[in-house]
Amino acid sequence: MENRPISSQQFSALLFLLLIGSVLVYVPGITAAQSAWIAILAGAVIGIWVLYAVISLHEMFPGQRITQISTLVLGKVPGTILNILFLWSIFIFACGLLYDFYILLNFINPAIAVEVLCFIIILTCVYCLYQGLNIIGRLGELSVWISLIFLILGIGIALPLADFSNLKPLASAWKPLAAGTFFSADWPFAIVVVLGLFLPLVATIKEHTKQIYGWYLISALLLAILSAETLAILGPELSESTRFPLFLIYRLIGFGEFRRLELIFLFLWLISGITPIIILYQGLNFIVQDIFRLKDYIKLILPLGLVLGVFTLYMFPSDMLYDILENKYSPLFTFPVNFLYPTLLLLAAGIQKKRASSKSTPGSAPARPEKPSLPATRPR
Amino acid sequence: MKREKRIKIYVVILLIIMPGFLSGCWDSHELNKLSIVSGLGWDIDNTGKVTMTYQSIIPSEIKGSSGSNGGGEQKGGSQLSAIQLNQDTGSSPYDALSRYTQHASRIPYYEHTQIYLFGKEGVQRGIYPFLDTQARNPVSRPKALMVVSAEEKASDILGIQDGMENIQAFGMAAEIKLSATFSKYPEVTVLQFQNRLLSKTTAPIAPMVGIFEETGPEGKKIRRTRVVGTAVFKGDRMIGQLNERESSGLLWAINEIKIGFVMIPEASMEIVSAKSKIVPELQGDQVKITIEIDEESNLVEYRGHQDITADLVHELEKGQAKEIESQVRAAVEKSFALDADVFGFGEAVHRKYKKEWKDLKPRWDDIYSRIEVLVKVKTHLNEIGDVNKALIKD
Repeated sequence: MENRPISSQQFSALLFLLLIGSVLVYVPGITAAQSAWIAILAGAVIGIWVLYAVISLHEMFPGQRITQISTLVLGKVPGTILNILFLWSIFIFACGLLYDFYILLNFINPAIAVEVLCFIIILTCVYCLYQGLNIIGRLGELSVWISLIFLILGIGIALPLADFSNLKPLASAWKPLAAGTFFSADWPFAIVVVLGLFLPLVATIKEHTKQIYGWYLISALLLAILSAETLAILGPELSESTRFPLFLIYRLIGFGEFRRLELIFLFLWLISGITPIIILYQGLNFIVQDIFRLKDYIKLILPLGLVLGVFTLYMFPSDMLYDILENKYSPLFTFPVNFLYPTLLLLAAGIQKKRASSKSTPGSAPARPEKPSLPATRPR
Repeated sequence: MKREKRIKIYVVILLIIMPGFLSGCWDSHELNKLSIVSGLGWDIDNTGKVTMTYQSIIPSEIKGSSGSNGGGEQKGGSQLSAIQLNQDTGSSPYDALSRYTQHASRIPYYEHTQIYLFGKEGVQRGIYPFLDTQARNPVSRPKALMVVSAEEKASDILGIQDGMENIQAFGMAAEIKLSATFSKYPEVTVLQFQNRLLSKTTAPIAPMVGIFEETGPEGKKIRRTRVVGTAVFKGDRMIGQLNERESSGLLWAINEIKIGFVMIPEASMEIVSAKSKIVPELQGDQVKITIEIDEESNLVEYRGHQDITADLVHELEKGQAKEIESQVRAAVEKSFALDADVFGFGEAVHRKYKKEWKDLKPRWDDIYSRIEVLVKVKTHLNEIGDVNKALIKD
C-alpha cells in the first residue's frame, strides 16, 4: 500500500493557508493603488496557470516531485540548473515571509529582539518538520477553518469603517494596474509552484482536483475582498505607506467601548503566518534533497533552518533594504522562475510525450515514463 | 526506545528554555512604573522650540477619588495627584520627550492617549514634525483625536479641570465626540487627518477647543472648556477656522450628520437621518458641484399657534431645507475665502473624471474658488409629537 501522508482535503487547506498567510501583513498589488483588488484577481488568473501546470505535471508523472520531473524531462544538467534557480526563488520567498513574520511579532512585542523571534519561529518550524509530513497536513486541516472564521469575522467587524468611495476611480491608469497584477501574481499566487513538491505525497489527488481549484479561488476572492476593504478604510495612500495595514485596521475596530481587539486576531496571524513558512521550508528541504540526490531530507532540516534564519537576519538588516529587495528587485527574478519553471517543464513533458507516442508502433501502448518509487519521506 | 529517550531530552531542554521567552519579563509594563499619558499637548514658539505638555494619569493614585485637587485647575505635579501635568521644551518633539526623562520617574505610556492638542501658534507654523512622529511610532493609537486649542498654548487647555470626568483629556474627548454626534463640529482622528493630508487637494480639519469663564454658585469664577470651531488646514498649517454654523454646514455636505437639531424661527426639528452626496460635473474648464442632501426629522418644538396641518408641515419642511442650505452655503463661502477644499470636491472630481483629473490636479487651487456650487436639499418631517393642535391658538 502506498504511503501518502497528506489527504487532498489537507492539501487544499495548505494551499489556502499558503496564499492567505503569505500576504496577511500587506496589501498585494498595492502598486495599483485603489485598483489593487482588481490587480489581485488578475494576478490570481496568472497563478491558476501555475497551479494547473503543477497539477498536470503531477498527472503525467505521478509520484514524482517537480524537481525530479525537471531532471527527468530536461536531462540531468539543465534540470539541475533549473532546480537551483527554483531553490533560490523559494529561498527568497521563505526569507521574506520569515522576515515579515518576525517584524510583525516585534511590532507587537517591541522588547523582544528580532533575533530571538526569528529563531523561535525557525525552531517551531524545525520541531514541526521533525514530526513528519502528515503533521503539516494535519496542521493545515486543523487551522484552516479557524483562520477562515477569524478572517471573515475581521472583514465583517471592520466593514462599518469602510468608505467605498476610496476605491474610485477604478483602473485610472493601466501601468500601475499592470504593475500591481505583476506583483500580486508573483507574491502570493505564483508561489503555489512550491506545491509541486508536495503533490506526490497527496492521496487521491485526481478525484479532488476541483476541490483544490475551489480553495484556490476562495483564497483569491478573500484576498481581493480583504484588499478592497483595507483600501476602503485606509485609502490607497495610507495603505501603501503603512507597514502593516491590516494590523492597523484591526487596531481601529471595536465594539462599543471595547477596544484593542487586534490581539484577538493575533491568532489568525500566528496560524496563517507560520504555515507558509513551514511549507516553503519543507519545500527547500525537498529541493536540496533532489539537487544533491540524498536519500533522506531529515538531516537537512536543522542546518537549512539555521541557514534560513541567519540569512534572513543578514539579508534584511532594515525595513528599507527589505522593501528595496523584496518589492523591487526580487520579483524580477522570482516571478519568471516560478512562472516559467512549471510552464517549461509542462511544455517539455508534452513534447516528450508526443514524440514517444509518434515513435511507438500502432497498436502498442504509448511509452510512459517508468513509474518511479515514491520520494523518500518520513512516514509516521 | 532510543528515540523516545531523545524526545524526552528535547522536551526537558525546551521546558528549561521556554520560561525565558514566555514569562514576559522583557517587555513588562508595571503600573507603578508608568505614567499613562491621557492627553498630549504640542506647542511651537517663534524660535521653533517645541513644548510638549503631558497630562498623565498615575494609576497607583487613582482610588475612585477626584482627579488632582478638585474644584480648580490641575497643579503641575507639585503634589502627588492622580492626574499630573508636565512640560518639556526641546528642538523637536523627540528632543522634548528625551528631556522628560531627566525629571520624570515613570515611563510615559501612550497607548491610552485620547487627544493630541495643538496650540494655536504651533498649528499656524505647521505640525508636520508631530504628525510624522505619530505616524512612525507603532504605539500611538490611530483613533486618538486631533484637537486645536483656540487659546495660544495647548497647555492652557490641558491645565483646566472641568467637566464630568476626573481626567480632563478623557472629558475633552467625550465633549468632542458628543458635539460630533449632535452634528455641531467634526470629530477627527489622527488617521482621518492623515488621510486628508495625503489626498493633496482635500484640506485637513480638526475641532477647536477654547476656554470660557462662568460664575459658579458661590460667585466663584470657574474656567471651563468647550468646542468652539473647526480649524482648517492647508497642508500641515492652520489657515483659518469655521464657526458653529459653518461647521454644521460642512458636516451636512460631507455626509457626517448623525443626530441633532435644525432650528428655524417657528420650530425646532430633531434630525432622524440624513444623507448627502457630492456630485461633480465638468463643463469644459468649469467645475460644477451639486451637493444633494436628503434629511428626515421629527418636530420637537413649535412656537406658532396654528394647528398642525399638511400645509404647515410642508412649510416647516421648506423652512428647514432653507436653513440647511444656508448653513452649507456659509461653509462653502468660507472655504472659498480660505481657498481650502474642506469638502473633498477635488477627490469627487478625481473619482468621476479620472482622465481630466491629470490636467485639473496641478491647477486645483486656482480652479477651487471658481467652482459653481449648487445645494439641493430634500427634507421630510415625519412625526409631529403627541399633539396635533396648538395649545394656545391665535
